[in-house]
Amino acid sequence: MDELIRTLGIDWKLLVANTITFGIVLWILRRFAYRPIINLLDRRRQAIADSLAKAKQSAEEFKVWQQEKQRLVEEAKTEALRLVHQAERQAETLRQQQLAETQAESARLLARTKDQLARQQAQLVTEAKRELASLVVQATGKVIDQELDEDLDRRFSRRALEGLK
Amino acid sequence: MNLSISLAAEPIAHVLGFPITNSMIGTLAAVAVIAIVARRATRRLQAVPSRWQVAAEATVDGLLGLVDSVTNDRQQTRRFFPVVATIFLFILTMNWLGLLPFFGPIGWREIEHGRETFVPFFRSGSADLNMTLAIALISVIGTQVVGILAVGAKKYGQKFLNLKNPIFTFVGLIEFISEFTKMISFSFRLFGNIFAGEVLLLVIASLVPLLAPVPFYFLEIFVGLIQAFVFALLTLVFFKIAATAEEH
Repeated sequence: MDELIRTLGIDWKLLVANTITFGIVLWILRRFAYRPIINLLDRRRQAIADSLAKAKQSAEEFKVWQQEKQRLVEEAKTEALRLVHQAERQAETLRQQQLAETQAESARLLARTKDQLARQQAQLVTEAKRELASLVVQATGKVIDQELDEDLDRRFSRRALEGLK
Repeated sequence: MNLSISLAAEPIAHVLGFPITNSMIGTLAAVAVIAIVARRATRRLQAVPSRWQVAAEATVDGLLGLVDSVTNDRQQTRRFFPVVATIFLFILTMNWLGLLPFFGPIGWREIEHGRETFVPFFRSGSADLNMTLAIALISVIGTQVVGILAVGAKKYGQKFLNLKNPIFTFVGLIEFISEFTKMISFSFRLFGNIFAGEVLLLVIASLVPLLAPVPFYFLEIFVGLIQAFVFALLTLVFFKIAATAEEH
């Protein structure tokens, strides 16, 4: 066994030295390679994941925004149509109202004019009758050649007027 | 040509009775390369990476993915990754450094037991059983630590020593022995492949120095990668098995 170990060159001192050497390599790699690179890779992975999440969120927000925009456009169209219809209805109502008012005013004017005409006509008739009665009295007076006193003239005119009615 | 092949790494100096072998020089060269590359790649980490940073990121991310594919658990991956990745990168660097032209031919001749031998100044760390055994020990001891941390010392100990049932006792004994065989298979597989590769290149280069070694260099590049991968992956699998030992 000793001969084999000697032939293979196994030496506990070298074994310990090599183990320590391995430990040093492990420390160097941990300190200068594994830790910084793994941290960097983790940060990069996180950054990529964040960017993807943000892009996805942005896409979803854009989709929502588009839907919102579409909805607003639809609402605006509906509102515009509603306003147009309302304006049309109001215009129609106003037109009808104005028409009715105009008609009423016309009717009122017509009635008033008729009334005035009737009153003027009645007045003219009355005046004409009075004039006529006066003429009748004068004519009668001349016929009978007699001056009528004032009281008789009045009574006579009244009777003539009643006779004309 | 007189080829001198030694299974053991040759000491090139002694410091306070401590032997400095040519494989230690190769190992230190690997450590230096790893340190320089790691520092160079991560000195200024940027969002838009440099070529060095890209290579380092690709390596670390690829190894993380490999560990993840075995553990299926990010927490376990974070715990196992440093040891597994270091085993892979350290062995790979040592294996590939051993293929450089000055590993092997540069050295000196000395007379030992009346016979002239050539002692190379550089030798790959993986071509020394002391290094492969050290990493195998780290792997096997690490497996036990992972098992104990996962299920507790008492429950994990029952895997090896269970007196409730003679069959379990026997299985425990086999498990205990298998931990040693793991160490032996780990260390000898890597050592055997890399050492044999170096010897093969040496023999081919001594027979036909020009062009003939080229295909064998490509073969050894592949072998170096595969051996590093196998060592790291087996360690990872043993870690994973130990971490889920309560299921057995």
